[in-house]
Amino acid sequence: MTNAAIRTENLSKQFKKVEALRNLNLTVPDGAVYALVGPNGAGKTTAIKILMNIFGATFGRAEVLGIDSSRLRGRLLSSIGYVSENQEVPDWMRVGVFFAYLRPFYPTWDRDLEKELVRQFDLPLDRKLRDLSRGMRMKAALASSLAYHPKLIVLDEPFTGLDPLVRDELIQGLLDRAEESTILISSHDLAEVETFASHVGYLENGQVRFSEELTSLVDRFREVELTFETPPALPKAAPETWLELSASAAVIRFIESRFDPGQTNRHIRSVFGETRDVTFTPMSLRSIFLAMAKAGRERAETASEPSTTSVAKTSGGAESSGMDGEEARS
Amino acid sequence: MNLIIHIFLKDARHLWREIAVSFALVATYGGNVPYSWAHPGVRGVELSFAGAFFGAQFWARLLVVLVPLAWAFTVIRVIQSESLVGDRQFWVTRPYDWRQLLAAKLLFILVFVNLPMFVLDLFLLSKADFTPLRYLAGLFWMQLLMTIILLLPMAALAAVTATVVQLLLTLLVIVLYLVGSSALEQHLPASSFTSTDPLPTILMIATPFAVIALQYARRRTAWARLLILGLMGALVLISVAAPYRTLIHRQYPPPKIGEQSPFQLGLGQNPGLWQRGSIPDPKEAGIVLPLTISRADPDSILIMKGSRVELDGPNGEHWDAGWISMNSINLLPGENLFSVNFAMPRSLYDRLIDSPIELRVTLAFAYFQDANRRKFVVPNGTFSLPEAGLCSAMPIEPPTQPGFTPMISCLAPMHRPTSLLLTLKLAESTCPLPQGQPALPLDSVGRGWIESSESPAEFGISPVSQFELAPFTFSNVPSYPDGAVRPLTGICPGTPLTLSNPHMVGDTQFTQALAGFHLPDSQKSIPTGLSSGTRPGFGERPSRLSCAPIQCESCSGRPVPILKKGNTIRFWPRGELGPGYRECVRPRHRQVPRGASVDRAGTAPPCVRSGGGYRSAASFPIADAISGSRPAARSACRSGCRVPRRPGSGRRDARTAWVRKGSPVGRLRPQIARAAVYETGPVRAE
Repeated sequence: MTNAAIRTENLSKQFKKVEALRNLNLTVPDGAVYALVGPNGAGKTTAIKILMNIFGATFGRAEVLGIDSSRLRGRLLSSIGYVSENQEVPDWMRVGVFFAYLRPFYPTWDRDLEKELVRQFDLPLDRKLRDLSRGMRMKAALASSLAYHPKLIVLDEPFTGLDPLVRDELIQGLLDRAEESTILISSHDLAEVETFASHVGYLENGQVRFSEELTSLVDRFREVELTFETPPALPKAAPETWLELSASAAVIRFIESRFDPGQTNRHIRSVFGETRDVTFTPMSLRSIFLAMAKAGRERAETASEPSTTSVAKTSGGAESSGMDGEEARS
Repeated sequence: MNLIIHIFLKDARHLWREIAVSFALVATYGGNVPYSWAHPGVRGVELSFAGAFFGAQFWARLLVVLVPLAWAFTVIRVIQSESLVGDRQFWVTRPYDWRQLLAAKLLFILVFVNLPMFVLDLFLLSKADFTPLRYLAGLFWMQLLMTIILLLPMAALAAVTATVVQLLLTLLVIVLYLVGSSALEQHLPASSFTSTDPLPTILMIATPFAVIALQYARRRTAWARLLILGLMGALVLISVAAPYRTLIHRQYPPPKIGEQSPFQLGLGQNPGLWQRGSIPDPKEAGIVLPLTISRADPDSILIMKGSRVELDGPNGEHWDAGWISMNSINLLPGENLFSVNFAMPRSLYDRLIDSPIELRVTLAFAYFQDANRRKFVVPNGTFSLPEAGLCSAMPIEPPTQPGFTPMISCLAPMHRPTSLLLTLKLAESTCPLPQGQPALPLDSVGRGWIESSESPAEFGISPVSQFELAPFTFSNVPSYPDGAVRPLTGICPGTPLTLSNPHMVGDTQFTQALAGFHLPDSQKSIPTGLSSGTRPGFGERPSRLSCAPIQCESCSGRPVPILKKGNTIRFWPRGELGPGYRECVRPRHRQVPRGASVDRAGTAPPCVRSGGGYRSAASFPIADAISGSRPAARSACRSGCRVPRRPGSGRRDARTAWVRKGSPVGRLRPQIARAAVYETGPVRAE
């Protein structure tokens, strides 16, 4: 339990008949900039709301800064900043009044930092929150969550619907304070996340498919292109770590999700024999996300067929790091 | 504490419009009330909420409703400004301590609702020449009542709803629930005069507290809503499952064995028939049982709460009507006649119709004994009347309004007198007799009784209660020879009165067997449909007069009295139905339920020999409501004469024809459906 700003154990949440989270096990290391990614409906927002004690968990537990999340209220929230895309702010307040109102709640509120953030985000203090654009409102919300040096910053889809300039400003504002805080951010904007996240977790169907450092993740995924003398046939059995296997004339392409030069080469030789050329291309986080999402969808479709075993069942106990889901299945 | 003030100031800044409107309404109300005191004919604002809409100055009375509404709205807005429902509010992830948040909201309500009310009350008391500091306990009691009855439930509802619209929809559901509950209670007649307290009261007070605490401490909206639903279900369950017979026995204990009862029941004359609703139920027969009660102390007052009738037939038949509410009929000294109504199975009725039966009548009632009787001569101008407040004998505006009686108008601090009985020998009145009125005999007496709860204050927003002292019931009063509408004599400066303070001896029940009773014959007894007179929602009766006999001119030519005596005339506010419209209400001891038909005990209806046509009209609820009025009686009579009853279709046909032909009933239907109204007709004192 040490050195983890956030830790969940078998966290589950059921909304009537919908199972939003299933035995979620997630660890956000202290000081990390953790990007929680996943398709719509994966359970990212639900997980964050449980962490912030907005929802209660149906089963399992979560710790935030060493405190059981179900006890997170009142003073305990003074070291946590939370910004959500659809958060209802007191929009009748002017920006300056909003900051002034929040100030007494936080013993660590830094007036100088507040001024700096106002300047950095170019916030109009005399305008009402309801009169601000979405981007400006998001910047005001972020500034109000940074001005007291929170130990943990939780951002739920902060970039949705924002123009690139505002995104850059938000990210810059975050990065400037990243050293003193742990940041958990859920986002679809993988290109932006890739630029500053230190860790990434992929959530799908309420479960963590992988959770690891971004550098190790990027190292682990490769686009593999095999060139043959003659057009080969697609193998009937391929390693589970190979995703999106496809053939085009004398070329076969796939994504290796557990890339190790020696191991991958051995697998290629054992499946295809000799090849004329082998190319390994590093992938962007977006490409990795898409490949994972597609694979997840295929698994779900397979699982929905009566004769096949449920993917969810086979990978239900996946650990929160590495390709445990896939490994468990293979 | 700093954060409490901080949140409070934020709310005050946010809700300045609501606060301003509420202050403006309070100020307007505060300015209006002393005006209404100075002009008692206007009677701008009353303490009671009920009936506030029926007044000469509609907007002024509206304030009685608007001020609490503004307070309720302010409470709702302040609670919902940090909404406890939903998962998107910014404040739930901020370091708000729920205790501080709740304290800030309470502080806001205290400052912007309770404090203005307190200041208003102090102002009104001092304006009415009372010393406010003497009534602090009562003022705090008023605050407590307002908080528990209005503000607390509103705060609880605001705590489980996110927006005002949601709250209004919730209120709509609650209103529907209340309508359903009251409909259910009509099937539980004993529930209206038996208290199942303290459980329902405890639940109704505890649930809002629990809801608010649960929401602020845990924000468990589903649980909080379940609590409210649970309360609603529990109240229904309590009213349905309560052991009413046991409760009545406990609340109205019978005399101890061997103890001589100070009451004696006797059968009145001419029992009649009535029917429930507009369509007769072929399986039941409604009986109106006129009774007289004599008491050892002729000056005692009885408030009849409930009755129970048991029948024993000659062949061992036994039937029990169960407890039935009597709607708190007051029998003042000198009033002995009342009726008990019950519906029995038609089959039993048919078996017993020809045989003398034994009746066992049990009455549950409150019993007041007269005390502290003293003479009082009404002075000129304003005078202090102990236990009543500051009073003055003044004419009611407009003085020419027919039917109004000169009376004493009083302002009382905190509540009306707990119990004050006024007895006036009409012949001793110093009020000038109307022109043409013969001198009143020495034994003609008028009485008026005012009672209220013994609590430190009544529920309301004004600590000053305005009321009139006047004779409302009369005995030994002769009729005007010409049947014209004229006011009786009343109370004027110099009029000697007898005042007393009847005190409650207790609730009790009393059973008496009455042998040799014959059930009324439905073939001989003619239903007419005099309705029960008291309907909620109308202002206090300013006077009580008698309706003169109305003759049915288009039937056999035989004059038939419609109303005999003792009916109450209630004046409708001008502007509602136009001047001159009045409501004719039977006195309490002569009231029968809506739809009842009474023969000579109450009314000898017209068209007795018209083949039953009038029955159909009488069974029509509107006809019930207006029976006794001259135009309606004539209309009913015409209808009855023209549309004799045909087997199998008489009732509906007659009713339809009657309404379709544009009878006064048909034309006045919308108004009459609301209350018994009739055009000014010949009214005279007996």
